[in-house]
Amino acid sequence: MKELLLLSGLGILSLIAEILNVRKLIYPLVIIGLMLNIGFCVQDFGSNEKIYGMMVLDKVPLAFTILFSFIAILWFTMAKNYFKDDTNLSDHFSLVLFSMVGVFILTSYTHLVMLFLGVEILSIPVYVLAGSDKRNLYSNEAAFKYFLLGAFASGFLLLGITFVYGALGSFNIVQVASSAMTPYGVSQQLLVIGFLLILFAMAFKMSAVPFHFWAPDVYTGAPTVITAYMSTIVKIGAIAGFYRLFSVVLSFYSQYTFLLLIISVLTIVIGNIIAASQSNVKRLLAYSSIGHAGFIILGITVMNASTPYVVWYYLMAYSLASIAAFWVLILVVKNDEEEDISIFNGLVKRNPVLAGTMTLALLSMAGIPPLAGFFAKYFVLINVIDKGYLLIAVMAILASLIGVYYYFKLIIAMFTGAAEDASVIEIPTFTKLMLLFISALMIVAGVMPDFILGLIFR
Amino acid sequence: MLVFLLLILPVVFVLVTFFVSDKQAKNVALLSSLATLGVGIYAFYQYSLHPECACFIYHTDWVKALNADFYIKMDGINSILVLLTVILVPFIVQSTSGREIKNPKAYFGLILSMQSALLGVFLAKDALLFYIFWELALIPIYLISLIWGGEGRQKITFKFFIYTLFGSLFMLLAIIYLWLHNPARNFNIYDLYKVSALLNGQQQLLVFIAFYLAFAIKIPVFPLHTWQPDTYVNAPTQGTMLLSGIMLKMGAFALIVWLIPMVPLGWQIASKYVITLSVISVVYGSLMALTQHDFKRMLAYSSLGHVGLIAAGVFSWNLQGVQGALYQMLSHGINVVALFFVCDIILNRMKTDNMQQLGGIRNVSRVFSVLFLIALLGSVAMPLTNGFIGEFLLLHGVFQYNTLLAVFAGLTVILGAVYMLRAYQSMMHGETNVLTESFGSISLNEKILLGCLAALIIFFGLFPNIILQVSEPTVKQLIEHVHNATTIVKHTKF
Repeated sequence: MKELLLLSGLGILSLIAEILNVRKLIYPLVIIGLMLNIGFCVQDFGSNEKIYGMMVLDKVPLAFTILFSFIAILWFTMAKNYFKDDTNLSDHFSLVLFSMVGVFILTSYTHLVMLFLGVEILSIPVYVLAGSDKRNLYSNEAAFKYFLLGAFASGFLLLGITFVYGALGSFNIVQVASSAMTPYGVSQQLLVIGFLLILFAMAFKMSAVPFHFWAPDVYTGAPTVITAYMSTIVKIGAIAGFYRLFSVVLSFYSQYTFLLLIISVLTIVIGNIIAASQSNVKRLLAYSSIGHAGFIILGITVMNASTPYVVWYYLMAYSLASIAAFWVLILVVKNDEEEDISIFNGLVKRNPVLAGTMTLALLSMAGIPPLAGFFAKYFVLINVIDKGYLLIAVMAILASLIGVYYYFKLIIAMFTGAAEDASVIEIPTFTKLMLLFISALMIVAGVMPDFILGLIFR
Repeated sequence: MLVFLLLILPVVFVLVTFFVSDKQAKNVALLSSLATLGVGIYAFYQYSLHPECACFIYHTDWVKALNADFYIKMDGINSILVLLTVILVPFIVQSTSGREIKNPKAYFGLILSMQSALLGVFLAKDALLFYIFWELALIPIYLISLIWGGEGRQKITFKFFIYTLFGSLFMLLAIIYLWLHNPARNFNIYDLYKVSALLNGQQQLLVFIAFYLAFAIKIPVFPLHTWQPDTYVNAPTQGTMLLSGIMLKMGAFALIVWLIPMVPLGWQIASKYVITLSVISVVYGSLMALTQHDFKRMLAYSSLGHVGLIAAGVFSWNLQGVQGALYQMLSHGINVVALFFVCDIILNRMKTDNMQQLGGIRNVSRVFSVLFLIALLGSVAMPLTNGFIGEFLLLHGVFQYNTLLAVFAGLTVILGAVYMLRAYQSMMHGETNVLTESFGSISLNEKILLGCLAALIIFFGLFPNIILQVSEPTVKQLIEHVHNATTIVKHTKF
């Protein structure tokens, strides 16, 4: 409960900060608040606190909350400089904080209405944020597209929840699961349609194939900081929500497992194949994030006792690499130029720290040891092969080999390309230290996965 | 602890290189490689006296969720590869002397981290750790070739990377597969050896193919060799030396330790095919070397022939074949580094390694031509040089397996002599032309390096037992394990 109040409080605080004229204090307060949030989660570990029968704070939600709070600290540090001259700083910060309330609800809901509320609280601020570059046509397009399609998905979700309620007479996911086990007197058609609708809506939010079409346009059109936010924290929220749904309810039905296997393999393969042909870096990262979502869905689908760790670790590795990549992108791109791959040409000469961080981030996403991304993929693959899906494992491996192809396009550009503008990129010392910190984390998490997992799941 | 020191020493010096000036970077790297050489030789010597010493094992928990341990151990087989690595790296570092290297801190840092990763590959006794080191060794060499390579390096190095990564991912699958069938659910190599008793021939064949892909690409064996010649020619000299001198041996080493004892039945089913492929690559490599005009490219193809023979010897899986393979890995590493250094000296002065444009260098620099000749004789397996011992044992091993294949494999000695001597003739003998007149004498540093390499070539040609007696007990153990595993099945069949 503390976490929920804290996040909402932070949001309200940064909203009224403008009125109170303490804008300078927002950033430190938000950072302190998020650290406090991590502290609360650590304190609550093992308490299994129930919140009015709507949410339960067991191990997994708390671990996800620690993760997204930590990523949020990095994100705010990155975004602080970006909004420097923008008068709307407090609006942006409060929108992000409110949408993080949605993420928190998604990690911990036990009631289907809370699932819907979580998705909406998460999405609505992000619709606005995607369009926050008011004068940019693409940003407007992104917001509009995301809003229209997202509203459809929310409609599906609500319809699905109603159907499930109609069939079983309950919103509580544990009761839904147990009454589904006793099929007598239950309208199977209603139930199946209900579950499918919920599943499709969640697949939309996770940008799984074939509901992924919005993602590249929205990711490219939105301002880069917002894209970074969407591809890390929003993704954590959507996946945490899906994880809870699947682990409690859907894993009892073998037909959904089969459907999800198909969806996840398609997501991995199509995401990676299309990414290989992109020349815009943001678009490339958008498609690659679709591929990663596929890997995580695959990891959830082959459910066993280790799945929470696997999903958490994958999200951690992916979010770290993603935030590092976007941070470098923001620092490299200046003056609204197109984010073409060629802007990375010769980056190693212009600023070796940026090039080094980007290389580590890309290697991690490509799953090259000893970076965190390797163990992330490895944990998933072990569970996949353990279930006997050898062919799927081979396909996932081949798809990630394609991933290597486009990540290395960027690396090659950074190390050998001739820069059009060869001027040195100056970055503040603090930013440099933060980038080095993220790089070190990616290596530490890759070399000692036990250490990181042990910190969270004691 | 001794083995751990071996692994960590280069890493410590990598960190040091970041804090020294550009000029000092080479000296730091040299110091590091000499220190590692000292520790390595001491370890090898100690091992030959007391192989049971606890100082050769370092074992600690690593990823508890998977039961993966940080387990490194020196035994008779990998001690030879360790020796090879620690001997060659000082030469590789010192060979940059007098050459201009851009951004030397990064260059030497990468060479040292490569050394550590290679030592890790050889020493690891935990499959997951082995895989990590295997991949880790790929990144520095990729960056070395990419940043300091020649024209068109982007495509060539990329092909190299994708090729090797493709293979290693299949190895990863095979490792996971074995892990899942391992009742102890760990990656310990000695437990994984026992897994083969639980797998039938078909399952073992699948694992064999997955492993073979990874190792055959690394060695490389025909028809998976297409990345090799371009990468060799294109990489900077030190990169080529690392690749051909040490990194190729990763593949052949893995065949001995990680492939055949892991799936003996798979080997039994597939051995005739994989030996044939190895022999094809011997003949193919030698023939291609015959047709080359550029010295460096010729060396690349000749290397293909030599390692093909090593692979054939390993797959024949008898004492002579495996011992010969180990010995030839050591000899080939030394010879090939010497020859690439010769090539670098010529390229540095003449700006070309086209053999037809060169000639009569002997008249200009006598010391150089003598030292070159010694390295060359080692490579063509002249008696009293190290190459002879290795190739003799290898051919002996293949002969026991199949006479016809041995005859074809023997071509490497004959063809090797043809192309090597012809190259020597056209570059060193004949009239001195306008180009080669400017060759001058070679520097003291180059003399010392080539002289030391030549001395090693003759030394290992005279005293093979120093090496062979160390590896023999371990090799015998492995051969016996495979023998038992394959014969038990024969009995149960009938």
